[in-house]
Amino acid sequence: MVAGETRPRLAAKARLRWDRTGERYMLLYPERGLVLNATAADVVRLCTGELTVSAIVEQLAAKYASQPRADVEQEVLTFLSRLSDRGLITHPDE
Amino acid sequence: MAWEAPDFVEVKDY
Repeated sequence: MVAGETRPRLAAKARLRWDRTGERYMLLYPERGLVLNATAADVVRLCTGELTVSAIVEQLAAKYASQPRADVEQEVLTFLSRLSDRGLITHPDE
Repeated sequence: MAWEAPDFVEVKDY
C-alpha cells in the first residue's frame, strides 16, 4: 500500500534510463522494461527513498501548477501502486 | 509542460 508518509525508492533491480534512440525514459529491470511518459519519469526520479509521497506530490503540483493538486495526488498514488505491484519500488520505512 | 497522468507501457532484447 502506497500512502502519503511512505518514502518510496526504486528497487535495486530497477534502473531509470534515457533511451537516446527513442528519446524516451525507460525503467529497466530483468527481462522487462517500462516505457515511461514524461510525468511518470518525473515521479520515478523523485523516488529516492528520501522524499515522502506527500513531498513528491507537492513538488509535482508546484511544477504542474495548472493541474489541481488533488488530481496530481490521486494519479501519483495510482502510478506508484502499479510500480509497487511489480516490485519496482520499495518502502524502506514500512 | 502540461500534466498528464503518469503512465507506462511494458515492453520486452541495460
